[in-house]
Order: sequence, then C-alpha cells, then structure tokens
Amino acid sequence: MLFPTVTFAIFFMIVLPVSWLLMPRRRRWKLFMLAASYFFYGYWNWRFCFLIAVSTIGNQVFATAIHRADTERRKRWLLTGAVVANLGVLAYFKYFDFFVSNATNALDKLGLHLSPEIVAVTLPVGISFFTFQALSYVIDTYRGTFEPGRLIDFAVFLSFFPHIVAGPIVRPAEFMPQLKERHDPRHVDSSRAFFLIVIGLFKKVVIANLLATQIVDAVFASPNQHSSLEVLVAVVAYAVQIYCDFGGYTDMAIGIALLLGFRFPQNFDSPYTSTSIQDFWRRWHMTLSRWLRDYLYVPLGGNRSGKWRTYRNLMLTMVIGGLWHGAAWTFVVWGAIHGTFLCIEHWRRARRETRSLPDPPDTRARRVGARLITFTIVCFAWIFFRSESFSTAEQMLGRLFDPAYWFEPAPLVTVGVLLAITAGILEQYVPRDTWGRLMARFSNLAPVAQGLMLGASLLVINTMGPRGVAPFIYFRF
Amino acid sequence: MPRTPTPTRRHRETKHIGDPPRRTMPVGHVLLAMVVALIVGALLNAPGIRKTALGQDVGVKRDVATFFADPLDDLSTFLLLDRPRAALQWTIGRSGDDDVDLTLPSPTLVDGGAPEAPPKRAFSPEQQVRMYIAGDSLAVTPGESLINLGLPTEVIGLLGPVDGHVATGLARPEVFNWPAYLAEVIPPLDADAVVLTIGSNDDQTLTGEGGVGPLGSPEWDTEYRRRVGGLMDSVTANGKTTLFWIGIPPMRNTERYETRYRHINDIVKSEAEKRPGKVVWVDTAAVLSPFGGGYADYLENPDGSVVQVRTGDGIHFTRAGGDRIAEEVLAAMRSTFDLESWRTAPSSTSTTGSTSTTVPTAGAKKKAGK
Repeated sequence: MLFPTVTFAIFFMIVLPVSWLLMPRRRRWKLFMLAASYFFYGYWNWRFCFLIAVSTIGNQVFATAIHRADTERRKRWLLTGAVVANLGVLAYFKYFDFFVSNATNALDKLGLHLSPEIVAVTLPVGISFFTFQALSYVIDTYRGTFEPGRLIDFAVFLSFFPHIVAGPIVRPAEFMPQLKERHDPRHVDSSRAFFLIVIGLFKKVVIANLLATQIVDAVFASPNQHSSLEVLVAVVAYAVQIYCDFGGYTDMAIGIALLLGFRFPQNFDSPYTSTSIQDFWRRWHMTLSRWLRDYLYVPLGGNRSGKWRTYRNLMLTMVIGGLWHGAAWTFVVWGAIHGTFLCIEHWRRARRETRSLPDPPDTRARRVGARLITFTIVCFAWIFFRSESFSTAEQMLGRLFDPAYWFEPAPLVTVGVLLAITAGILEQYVPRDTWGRLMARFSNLAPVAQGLMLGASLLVINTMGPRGVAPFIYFRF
Repeated sequence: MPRTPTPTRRHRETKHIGDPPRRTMPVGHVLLAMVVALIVGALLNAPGIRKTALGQDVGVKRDVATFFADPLDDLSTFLLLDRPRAALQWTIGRSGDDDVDLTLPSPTLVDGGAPEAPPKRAFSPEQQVRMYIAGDSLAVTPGESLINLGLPTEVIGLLGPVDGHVATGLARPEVFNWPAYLAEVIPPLDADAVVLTIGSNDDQTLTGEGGVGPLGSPEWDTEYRRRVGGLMDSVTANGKTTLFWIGIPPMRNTERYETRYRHINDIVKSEAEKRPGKVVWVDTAAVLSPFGGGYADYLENPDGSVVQVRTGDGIHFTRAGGDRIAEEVLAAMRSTFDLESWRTAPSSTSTTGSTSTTVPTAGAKKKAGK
C-alpha cells in the first residue's frame, strides 16, 4: 500500500480514530495496531507477512536469551547467531542473484563454465529497513543499553506501518518507551503532522515525479543521445528527485506517526546545504548514517586506532552503506566515493591539528564555496548511484566533459524542470523558524479552515502530479 | 521532541526548541479537519477521481468506485468546483487530462484482399528512418535500448523520447485511448517507423465502444481483433508509416502467459500478417526464452556469461533484456527497409529521390555516437 493513494486514505481514516479509541487499553491497542500494520504490509504481498513474523519471533528469542545469558561468552555467541541469521536472510533476498551471477561470470573467465538455473528472488519491500531495526534491538540488548520488552511490544515496533517499508530506521529506545507513555488524545500535534504530510506529498508527487519523467529517466537511459547541458541538468535533477522522493516519504511517515501520537526521529536536515561530506552525512538519511556509525564504524574502532585504521573504517562503513542500497557494483562505487572524501576531510583536519593551524575563517563566501563543492561531489557520486551500469556512468561523464556537445540543443531542459529543481533546492534553504511560524499560524486556524486549506493543497498536488503513482525510490532498498 | 508544559486550558501549547509555539488539537478536531480536507479535495479533484475510478479493474472495485465518483463529479460540476482544477490544468498545459474518449476506429482493410507488401524503401544517413517509440510500461526499457542501439547505425533517427504510458492498452479506452492519441501525435511527426508495445494490459474485459467480455470468448476475440486492426490501419493510413508491433514476452506466471497473452499475441500477429510490409510483428519469445522455450530471469550470452534479462517482478526487462528486444526490432527493420545499400551507393542521394533531412533529435549528432 502506498501513502499517496485513495486506498491508504481510507485505511488511515479507519485506523486513526480506532487507534485513539483503543489507546487507553494498551493491550487491545497493540493487537489492533499489529493487525493494521500487517494488513498494510500484506496488502502488497501477504506471503511476506510470514517473513516479518518470523523475524519478530526470532529476534525476540535472541534478545531475550542474550538478556538472560549469564556469561559474556554466551552473550557473544547469541549475538553472533542473531547477526548471522538477520544478515543471512537479508543476503538471500537481496544479494543471492548478484552473488550467483557474479560468481558464474568469474568462474567462466577462469574457464569453468557453469550454467546455473538462476531464478530472480523477489525482494520483500522494506527488508533492509526492518532488518536493521531488528539488529538494533538485539545489539542494544547485548550492549546493555536497552532491556528487551515483551514480544507484543517488539512486534508492534518492528511492524509499525508508518515506518515499515522505507524507514526512518527507528531505534527501539526511541519507540518502545512510547508504547508505555500516556498519549493524550486532547493534544495531537496535528499542525506539524499536516505540514509534513502535505509538503511530503508535494515533494514526492509533484517534484520528484516530474523530474523523473521529464528528464532524469530519459537522460540516464540514453546519455549519448543528449547534450552536455541535458546531462548536467539531469544529474542535478536526480539529486533533487531522490531527496524529494525519499525526504517526501519520510516527511509523510513522520507526519502520519505524529497523528497516531508517536514521534519519529528526523531523517533529513537540508542535506544540500552541507559544507562538507561529513556534514552531508549528518543531514542525509540520518537514521541510516547513525546506524552505520554506532553498529559498524565505532565497533570497527572508529577513529581511535590511528589514521590508517580510521581510513579503513571509513571506507568499509561507506562501502557497506552503499551495498545496503542494492546488489550492484555501482552502489559500492557510490559508497567508495563518499568514503574517499570522508578520508580526505579527515586527513585535512588531522593535518591542521598536527600543525596547530587555525580553522579556516567562517565567512559567507567560504560557506557558499564549501556548499558548492560538497554539492558537486555529492552529485558526482549520484551518477553512479542512479546509473544502471558502469557503462552508463561512463557515458554520462563522457558526455558531460565532451566539448563537442556543450552547446547542443537541450530540449529536455524546460522551464518546468528548472522550476522543480529550484523548488527542491530552495526548500532546504528556508529558515527553520519560517516553517515554525507557518505551522504556528496554521495551528491557530479552526479545524474546518485547516481542512479547507488542506483540501486546496490536494487540488494542487493531484493536478500537478502525473497520473498514477510511481513507487518510492527507497522501496527497492 | 519538545517537552509539553502542564495543560491549563483546552489546548496545550507544544513547543519545539527554536519553533514558535503552536496549538495542539484534540483528535476529534483532527478528524474533522481531515474529513473536510478529503471532501474538499474530492470535490475539487472530482473529474480526475472519476477518470481514476473508470480506470479500475473491471469488477466490484470499479463499480464501487464509479458509484461514488460519478455523482461526485456531477456535484462538483453543479457547484462549479471543477473550475479551479480546469484552470490549473490550462495554466500548466494539461487541459484534457481528465477527458474520456471511448471512440475506437475500425479496420479499413478489406478482408480477403491481403495487399502485397510495398517495395522496400531505402534509407541513408541523409534520409534516416524517422522512428517513434510508444507503448505501455513494457515499451520503456526496450525503447531506450532501441535508441542506444539504433541511432549509432546512422540510418535511424529518433522522433522524441520513448512515449510510455504505464498500465494502458486497447482494452480500456477510458484509461487511455491509444488510437485517438496516436491519431493526434503521429501525423505531425511524419514517422517512417512506429515501434509500439501494447497488449499486456489487455487480458481483461473490453470496455468503451463495443466493449465485451470475457477474454477468449468469440465476442471478445471479434472486438479485440477490430481494435487491433483499427489501430494498425489508423497508424499506417498515410501509406508511409510502418508499424512494428512488439509481442508480449513470456512471463514468470506461465499460466497467465499461456492462457491469455499467447492468445493476444496470436490475434495481433494474424492481423499483422494481413498487412504485409505495413505492419511487422516482432516476436520477443525468441530472444527472451532459454533453449527449449519458456521463461527465464537469466540467460546465457554467446560468450558464456550469464546476464539478468528480467526484473524481479517477472514481467519487465533489465537493460540486457531490453537490448535483446531492441536487436530483434532492428533486425525486423533491416528486413523491412533497405538500410544498407547506402554504404555502397556511389552518391549520397537516396533512391526515393527526396531531399535529405536529418531527423532532429534531442542532442544527438549526425555522426554515430558510442
């Protein structure tokens, strides 16, 4: 089930009042929310409800056993088992075909010809997200920073429909205590919720879809049939498209959770205003980057074991982060590019400290320059992320830097495309207090007035959006 | 998340650090706002909702959807609440988005009088094949491959990007009327070749003018054949355009393919055979099936490497799969047109004797690219 559909609207109009009616009766609420979430997830393919059920039970068994284990050795073995089981399931669904086809081709180059019957494995929606959430639960239990709850609580956490298919990746410590809190139905932060939902819808349905259909898909499919300007604008357009698509979805997820009385962590913080790659990863897919930091980078040693180990840890973390997005070498390269620039930034910082050099002056010009450089690096990496093969990426870069095509006509660079790009980038430069003031003014309106404004927003979104609903980019992760 | 202060009045202020204070609402008011939003949104978007309702699968879902959508549209029109949408559509150049055209042309070919194939037309870099690619979602990837593989031949030129319309076909003209659309789009393009992929969404009851069901009944076959033939004759009516109709490929759901899609393919293929030289049916099973036939997600290249040709849904194509179909389309074009004699011709003038023109393509150079 997708958020911006009539089906979801009907589903939510039923779930919302029933949820609040049942809220005082915790157990009934949890059973209801569990059923609603499984219905939401199973609407796409009911068979995969078994997968999430097995993941829930399995991880709860592991977490409980770890919590009760009386020796460190036993805890470690159980943790290893849980990690292997979770990653094994993820690897099967996500990487099996990639591994088999690469292995087959590699063996073929060595003269060992195999012709395996490879059947493409259907990737369950959201598996990367709920697997990482389950791992958080088990690892935090092992570390002693979180005590496992009851099965029903964990089941609700893992399957909660606003975040199950595309995040944000919520920590158990962020969500499960909210199951014990008293949620006051007289005080719902609806203005913020409505704002997030409407803005998220506009970003996804209007901006992201427009850019995908009017320039990005066509240029990335056939780079050599387009001018340098079209390729350049398509790359920037993709940067805006993926932000609006994923950021828009996250906004909706957070808003929907708020209407149900639950708070999700922020997932994007104006990432294209970043002044460095390190800053970018503090603002882009924040819940994934903190997961990688806390469960991969820090356990590997972080930056505590000398510079070469730090570089290794940075590269490993970013490469694995790239691979998380999909079973393709282009994602690995995307991660490696980010890892490389993180290493460079780390080296420069370390050199400044070693030589006792002062930090560069924080001037406006320097910030603008830093933002432009960071955005350029990020867009360069997006080329690999979006390209379906290295050949496509090579063609994109080749066409970009070939002077013979610099002044060719660019019919795909339309006013609509440029406006959409501008809107997607400028939205990130709107000061936070501006949004805050708008939300505050909106919250002062009567409910009917709020409804009228929301209805008018639906007119704009539905009219300007394309017919049909394209899936969210991050659904395929 | 901000701490909330002790409630004092009806509404408690919720403050996020750095944000101006905003009022919270009781759930009842939230629901009221949402209901008002949905009602207002529905009235303002009623024409679009009606079109979406008509596009649902034939059956209970569609009946229920239209039961609500039709009176909603009437009410919206009566209250003039459909005007803002029309004005906005006009502003952004999308007037007609909500129009429903159910008329479908009939064939003009006289049965029993299969014409002879016209003589092969010769093309050259100066007189390229003006190619237009369109269809449902299955048209997109092979169409992109056709652009990548066809343009470097120097004799094929492109009339715009792949014109794909997801979830469309001939069965449901209220969703998208392909004959009416192509009748409007093709004449100004003056296309030599139209590469079309439709049919995979047609395994359902036919609606619109002449609508019947179910699939496979004699009435269904007659009407679908009429629609296919009518589209073929409409596209090729100018006597210049050749239609290349890409057949539905084998699917992972083999039962569906064998009982439905093969039947549709048979109808399209037989109609194409009645129009030799004007309509060419391109068989995709030949290049997407393993040795022995059937369906495969992965196939072996001649060099022994294994490549994924179908996506995870068992329906659509990867780039490699699209390339295979594109090669088949190019082979069909080479059989239909003379695409080679220019290489040995003593001069650059074409055998048709007309002035050489280069098809204007988006950023493409005359010389072959990579």
